[in-house]
Amino acid sequence: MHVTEDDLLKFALETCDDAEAQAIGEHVAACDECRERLALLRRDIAIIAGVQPEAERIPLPFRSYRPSVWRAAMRMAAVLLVGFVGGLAVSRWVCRCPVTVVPQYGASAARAIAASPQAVTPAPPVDLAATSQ
Amino acid sequence: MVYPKGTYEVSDDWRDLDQARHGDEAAWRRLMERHLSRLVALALMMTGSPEFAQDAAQEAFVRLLKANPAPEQGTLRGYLTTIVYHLALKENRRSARQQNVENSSLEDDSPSALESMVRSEREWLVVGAIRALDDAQRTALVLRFYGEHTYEEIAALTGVPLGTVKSRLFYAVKQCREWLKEKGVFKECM
Repeated sequence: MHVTEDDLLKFALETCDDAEAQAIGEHVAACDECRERLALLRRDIAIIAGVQPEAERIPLPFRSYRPSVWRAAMRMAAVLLVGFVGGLAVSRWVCRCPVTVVPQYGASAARAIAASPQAVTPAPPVDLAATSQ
Repeated sequence: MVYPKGTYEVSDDWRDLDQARHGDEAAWRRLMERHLSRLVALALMMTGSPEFAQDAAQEAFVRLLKANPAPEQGTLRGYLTTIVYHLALKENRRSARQQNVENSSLEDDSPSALESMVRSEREWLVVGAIRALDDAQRTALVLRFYGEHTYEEIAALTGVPLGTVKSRLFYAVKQCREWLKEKGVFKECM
């Protein structure tokens, strides 16, 4: 009894279960006719699976996808530059708002100063903006 | 595999991809030699459009470079195939022209473009046979033979049971053989 066409096809496609595959395999190994039919079947499958159309290759999009140390360095430099310019702008804005420092003394120090014959009046406030220019 | 393709190591793909990302043109060409034609065939069988098939296959390579997948995610072959498969599905949905199984004659599918793409009349007939299948059978056949996916991968990709995938492939090949025998491609069909 030879293997049916459908069973040979399932065997060739490896879609039958293990028991079926083993039985068919053993028969094919011993039967010249079935072995020849299997070979023809596999040839047909190879033809169906073997279309190789002409394909247009594209060049490597090198610039777009190459990991670039240079680009990473430029990015970092840009971040530093933005940070520097931003910091400079903020500092110049801060300098336009003068901070007046008035020395403050504790209560006991104030009394000692007041009692001293050479009482010293507190120094006038210091305009930091004027002194920094 | 029943239909051994060109032999190469899976690791060759990842090595060539890494080299291509660093500007190695030779590595890029090797990747294309290994996969481009197969991907064009897959898209051609799925959609019947030679123009789309070229575009989809090229798009898959461009996306491969952009995404730079890791080997842990699977094979590069599978990655490319999945991209083309989904692009083809999207194209089929978007296309204004319905792919009718009974009327899938090549006359409707830009015959001059197709003829310039396939290498022989036999290949032209094989494309016709595959295009004559219904969508489900065609998908199973194309993903198996041209996507080089395992049955389990096809089941996962298409969302159907494993047994259904195998059954669809069986009937797809059987029908193709009968069709091609009628056209004289297969001298005997048992």
